[in-house]
Amino acid sequence: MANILVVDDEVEVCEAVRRVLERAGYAVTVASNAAAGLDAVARLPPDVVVTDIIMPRVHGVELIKILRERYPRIRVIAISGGGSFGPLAYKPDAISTHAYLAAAREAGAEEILTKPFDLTDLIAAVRRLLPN
Amino acid sequence: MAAFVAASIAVAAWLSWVIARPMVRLQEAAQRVASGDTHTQLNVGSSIREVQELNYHLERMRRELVGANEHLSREIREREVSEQKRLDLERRLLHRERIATIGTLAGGVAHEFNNIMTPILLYSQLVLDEVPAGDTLADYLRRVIAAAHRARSLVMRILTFSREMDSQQPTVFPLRVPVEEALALLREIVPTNIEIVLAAPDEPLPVLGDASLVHQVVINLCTNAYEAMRRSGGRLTVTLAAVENPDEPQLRAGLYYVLQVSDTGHGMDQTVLAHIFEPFFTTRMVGEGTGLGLSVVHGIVSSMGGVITVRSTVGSGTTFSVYLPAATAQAPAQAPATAAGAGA
Repeated sequence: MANILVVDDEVEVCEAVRRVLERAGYAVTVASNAAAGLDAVARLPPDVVVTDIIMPRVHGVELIKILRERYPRIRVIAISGGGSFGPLAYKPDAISTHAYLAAAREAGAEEILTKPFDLTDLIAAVRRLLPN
Repeated sequence: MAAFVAASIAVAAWLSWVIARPMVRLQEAAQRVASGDTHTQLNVGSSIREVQELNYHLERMRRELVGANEHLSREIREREVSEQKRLDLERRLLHRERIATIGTLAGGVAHEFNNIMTPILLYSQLVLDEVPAGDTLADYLRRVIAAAHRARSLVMRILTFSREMDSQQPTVFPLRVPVEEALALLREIVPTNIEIVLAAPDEPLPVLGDASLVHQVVINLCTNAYEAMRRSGGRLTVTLAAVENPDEPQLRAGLYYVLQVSDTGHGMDQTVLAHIFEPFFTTRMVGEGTGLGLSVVHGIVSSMGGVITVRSTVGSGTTFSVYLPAATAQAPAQAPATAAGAGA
């Protein structure tokens, strides 16, 4: 059974994604921030990491870069709610969803999903990365 | 003796005629000037040199007075105009700042909202998978999911306004194309009591951006225009034109293409005009409009480095003018990034 790690600071998003993926037959672990996510990866390297992008402290893009560097075989799906966040809200010109998603892709995310995404889109993205 | 007296009287009469009459005329002319008529020339015919000189000096003084007057009134006019321009610029800057603030706020709310919508959508779809297809519950769930999808597209529109959502890949396209496409669509839906007129030059008018967003701009502006004339009927005029260095304080010098949408509808007063680009501002009844149309238009135009202005007269109509920078061969892909920073 393939392992998937879900990293999102929104507990309800983590839980919903976990249930959808478990029902689709995957073993799922969740983490509520990038540091906890890296701990989980160190304990048991998953096949796929589904990570939020805009998170406090360590940004999702940073997490993707670290994963790419240390665990090149892990596939990554980036999910983002878009909009501005925290102090970035005061510099609306400096950042945009498009820029986040482009940065995530550049850092090595193979699939990008914009929240709120459909169940079928999530499963389709995982299946593209894990064909078997 | 009698002859002498008669001769003296004749000389005195002649002297008085020659000297006093021009003096009286000069006096009259001076009074005219004093009472404000500075534009009638002083020209008192006289053969006496002193009178001629007096006339000459008075006329010179009159001309100087006229010159000084004109100079002063020109200066006052210029000051009035520059004060008006300053006030206008100040008003626009404040307006822009307010729009930017609301946009930022909308971006923040959108982020939270998208997070909240994710479990709603995923759980609904999970449950739908468990419920037999013909079940009433399945119908209910499909309605929940449809509502969630509508909420998702609403947030997308808010993000377009707050410029968080950039257009994917800006390309150079002829402004005429999306405008004509939008008008073709509008002709299908606009009632026949409204005449649609397009006035555009044959040139392609290339701009940089996303043609489908310009399409949306035209649809939004024209829908508002025909809403304003729905009862009365009237004419909806769309014009395209090139303008070099438009007189708009927010725009840098250069070549712009102007898209104007005018209607002959009921118009808007100052109170309404002050808020029309703000999200959720609407004059329509609850359920008839979200109040997002013009804020989305504002966001799109700003993201293309342009500005939108509006003129309206209550009772006679409204004109929206969208200024978009002309795409030049020198600066193709960079324009939107720098323009977005400069936009509202």
